[in-house]
Amino acid sequence: MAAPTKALRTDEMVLSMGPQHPSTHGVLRLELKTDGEVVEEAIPHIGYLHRNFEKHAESLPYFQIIPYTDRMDYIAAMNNELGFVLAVEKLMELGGKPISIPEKAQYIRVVVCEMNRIASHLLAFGTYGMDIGALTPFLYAFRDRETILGLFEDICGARLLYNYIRFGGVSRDLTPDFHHKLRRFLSKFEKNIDSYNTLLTNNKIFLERTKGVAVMSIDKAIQYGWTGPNLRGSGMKWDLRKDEPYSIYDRFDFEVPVGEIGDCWDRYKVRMDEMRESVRIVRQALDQMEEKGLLDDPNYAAKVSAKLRPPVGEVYFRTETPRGDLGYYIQSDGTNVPSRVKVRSPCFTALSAMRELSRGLLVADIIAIIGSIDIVMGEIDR
Amino acid sequence: MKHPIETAAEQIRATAAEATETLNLGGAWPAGLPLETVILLTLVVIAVIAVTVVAGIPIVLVLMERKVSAYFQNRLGPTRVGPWGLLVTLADGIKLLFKEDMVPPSSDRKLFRLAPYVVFAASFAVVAVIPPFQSTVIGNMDLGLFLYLAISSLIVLGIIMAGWASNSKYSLFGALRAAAQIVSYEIPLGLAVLMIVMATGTLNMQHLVMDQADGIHAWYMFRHPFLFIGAFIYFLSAVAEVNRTPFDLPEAESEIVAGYHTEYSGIRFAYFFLAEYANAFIVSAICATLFMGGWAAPFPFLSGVPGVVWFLGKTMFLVFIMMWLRWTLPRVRVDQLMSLCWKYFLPISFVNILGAGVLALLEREEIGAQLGGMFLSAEAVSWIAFPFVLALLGWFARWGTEPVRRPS
Amino acid sequence: MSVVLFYLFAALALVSAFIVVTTRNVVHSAFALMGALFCVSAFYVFLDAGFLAAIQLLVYVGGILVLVLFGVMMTSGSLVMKLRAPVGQLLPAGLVGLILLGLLIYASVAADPWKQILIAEDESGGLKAQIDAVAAAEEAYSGVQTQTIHPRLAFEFVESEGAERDVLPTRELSDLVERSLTRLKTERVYVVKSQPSPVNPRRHLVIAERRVASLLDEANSAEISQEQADLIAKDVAERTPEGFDKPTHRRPALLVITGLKGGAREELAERFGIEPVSDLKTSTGLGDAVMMGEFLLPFEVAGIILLVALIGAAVVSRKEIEA
Repeated sequence: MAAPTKALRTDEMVLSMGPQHPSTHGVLRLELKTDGEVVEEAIPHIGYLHRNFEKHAESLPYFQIIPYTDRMDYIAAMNNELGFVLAVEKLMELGGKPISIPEKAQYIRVVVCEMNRIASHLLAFGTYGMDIGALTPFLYAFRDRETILGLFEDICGARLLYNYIRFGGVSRDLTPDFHHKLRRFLSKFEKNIDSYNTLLTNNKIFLERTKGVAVMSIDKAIQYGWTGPNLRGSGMKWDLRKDEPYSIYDRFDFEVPVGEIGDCWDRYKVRMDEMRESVRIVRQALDQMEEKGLLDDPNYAAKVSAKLRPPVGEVYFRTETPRGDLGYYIQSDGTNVPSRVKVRSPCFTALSAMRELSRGLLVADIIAIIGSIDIVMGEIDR
Repeated sequence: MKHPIETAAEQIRATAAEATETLNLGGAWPAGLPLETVILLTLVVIAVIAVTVVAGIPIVLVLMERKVSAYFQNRLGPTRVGPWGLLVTLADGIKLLFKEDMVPPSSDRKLFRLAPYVVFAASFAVVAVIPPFQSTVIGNMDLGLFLYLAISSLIVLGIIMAGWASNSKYSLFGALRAAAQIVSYEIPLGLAVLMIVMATGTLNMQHLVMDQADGIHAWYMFRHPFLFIGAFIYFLSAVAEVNRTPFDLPEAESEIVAGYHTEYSGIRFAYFFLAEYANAFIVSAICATLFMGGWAAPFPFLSGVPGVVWFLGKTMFLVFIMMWLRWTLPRVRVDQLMSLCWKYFLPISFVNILGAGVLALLEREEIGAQLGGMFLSAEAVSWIAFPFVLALLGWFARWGTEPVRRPS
Repeated sequence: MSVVLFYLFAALALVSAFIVVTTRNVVHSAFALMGALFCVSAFYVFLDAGFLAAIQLLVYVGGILVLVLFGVMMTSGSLVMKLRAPVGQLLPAGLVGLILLGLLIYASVAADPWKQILIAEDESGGLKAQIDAVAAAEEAYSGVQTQTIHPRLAFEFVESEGAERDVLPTRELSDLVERSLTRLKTERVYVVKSQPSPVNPRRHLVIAERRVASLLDEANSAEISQEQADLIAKDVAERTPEGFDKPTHRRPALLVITGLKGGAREELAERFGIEPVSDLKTSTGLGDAVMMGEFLLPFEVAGIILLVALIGAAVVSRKEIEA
């Protein structure tokens, strides 16, 4: 395009969206350079929720780091814990002092993580509806999320920040009626997903708002380091649970849903489909627990010393959280305090593409993009 | 002929004189009052009553919205203040009344203060043209329908005023969106109204209702297919006019916080809020009056029920549909909003106008079709043709959008 | 009361117009223009030109002013921008202003006062009554120029055969009246009483207006006889839905019974189970008829002047942004 003449040139308006804004999913600040409704550039500014996790972790015993991991991605705290715990267990194993984890604990970990994945995707679904302007899906999503949080409260006493998964197992046994409640929830929830799809996913206006908006090709997604549902939305079949199975994920049969072109709707749809797969995983886990008679097994955690001292060494371990590959790099100097902890955040990489994705779109599309990449500022800022 | 108000004033004066005489106060002075004064006093009393009633409508509507949204969303809604939470809006109102009157320091203070009143006054003035029951006074204005269009166009000025005076970017965004949206949607709305005016030759809302009083088949909505489509266009445009979901872009919470009233709080915010609900009620009432027979009963055997019941019932039904839309649908984007208006509603409205004009002409000349000894009027013929034409159009539409292979 | 309101609106219009030209803030100026235009529309209401008043609101306040505001806001950008007209523009502006002022003064002082208007509806029925009305009005308000504003209507009465009969309209006559009224879009006729304005004796101010019917009450107060009522009843009964040529009048619910007095209308309505409609009014007032008829050209000229002024306002605000 030819350079606009001086007479035609219009002033661009800089709109500072956030850090206090209803739909920046936390305390994100977007510096929008707008020409009318058209956004010429959206520059994300982060750091408003920085709490120094990595430095904290370097001054605390391993056990006490787990609650801090909860506070990174507070929407999916269980998954964050699991990543850290598995990393430390791997570190022990590498150093030749493996912890033997009871079978029941393995299953409980998978069950709670997948439940938390559902809860997290429900929140993504609900808030995405709210971003696009539909308020009702949010409350429907919270109704189901509430049941999951209630179950978490039963088993660990907390509803958001659980501190449940520990080295060698979990902190408490399941309650006796846990699996009944869970099965009841799952059968109800599967039907609910259908109604959510009717209400929002296939709504004409919703399709108009999200189809073809902010398309991310596979190549570009990989270049930006996208992972998780965002990457799968672009059509890449990459899921650590399948491709690098950790914990006991190789025992379950589930699909990896992918999108087609990588627009907002694809990213959103992947999450909706993933909830179904998570239901399948939880069902299989419950079935297998029943088959193996693990439900009445009192052995839910191995005895691990409170002064856990991993051998000298380092480890990088990544797991599939609802937001993508969450990687922990841990360096141990043999004491009970890690000498270095580094987190590879999936949301951070997702947000880094914001500037490219939003170029030339409308203000309303910016909101659609933020919702579709499903970021949690706690994890980005750490 | 005397104006009804004049007659009423004379009666009031006589009654007052009689009353003061029986009470031994000396009945001379009321009888001696000039008629002009009595008329003035009567009008003031009527106005006070009207404003009280009309101001009550948004309060009811706000409660209704909260309850409806709650039941749509598996909640109970307000339950604490009063039985079944009935008084919660009053409590809210009191809260807003006692809040600090904040005016942002960098705003244009004069316009910032003025704006809520412009919006409020404009939206409440429209109530004057609505006939809630059969009456020779209320809603019986020669230019009623036109006055509605004229006065409601003032609302947008208040909104621009608010958005600009706030000196906030979100407010300005909201105001510009509102202005563009309201000005655009006024056109299909006006065209839908014009169809009725073309067919009947009157702008008096009372007469329009009387013309529909025969029953549900006489409602303009069911007169002929063009009016049927027009009714939907009117309603959807009206939803856009009053900024409700799916067209609530001017106050899109997730995008521009609260749009043009972002910076407002306390009683000034309450004015916007009340005006918004009053608007929702007014456009529903006008839609009910124009297309659904207003205060007239849908079936003649039900005409014993007072007209105001029918009027309120139909209006509340439409208000409920608005709420239903709001709590179900997402919000459209600004370009989609405009394309809906200019690329769909407007052409359809033009076709409607043409069709309605032709039909009105045919009806007047009593041209129709003879079908086996039965005379079918042009309107009846158009109803019979309607589904076929729709099917044909649908076929054409599909034919046009067959996937085209493009070289990649 | 209306005089008080008139002066109120006049004062408001002057104040806002003054603000329009004196304020430095271009947006304030635009909003003051809103006040001025609104008051002008109120004047139209006083002139009984309701249609014009609504048009004024719809087009100028709701349409053009919004556009102007759009332009001003988009170009000025900040609240603090002050408007300052270049000195070079003062002279032409002053000249144009003076010329317009002169025109206005000439229009209000030198030109003939608007003809005052009378006449003519068929509420009492028949030509005789109409002529009586004219005579009565002319007698009552002698010295006031009178004129029938719808000569065609009167002409048709004279021409028609029904004109020879008097008092009670036959079906043909009332149909004729109805058709004429429909065509001319008026069923509402006033007797206007005016008196010389205290400010300018050559200009007449409207001080009262009455529907012709009430004037005729005295002249034509004979009660309707039973025979006549029966005749009308028969007439009404014969009006089958097919008997009407106008769609709105197909349904008896909307039947306009002309030429009846007092309770006779209600009586008939009750007898035939018809909704009584007091009187059908149409959408054009007296002022509109004048404005759209005799004064169309000045009206258009005024419109063009306003348009030029609006464009000028936009140009002025744009000029400032480049500076």
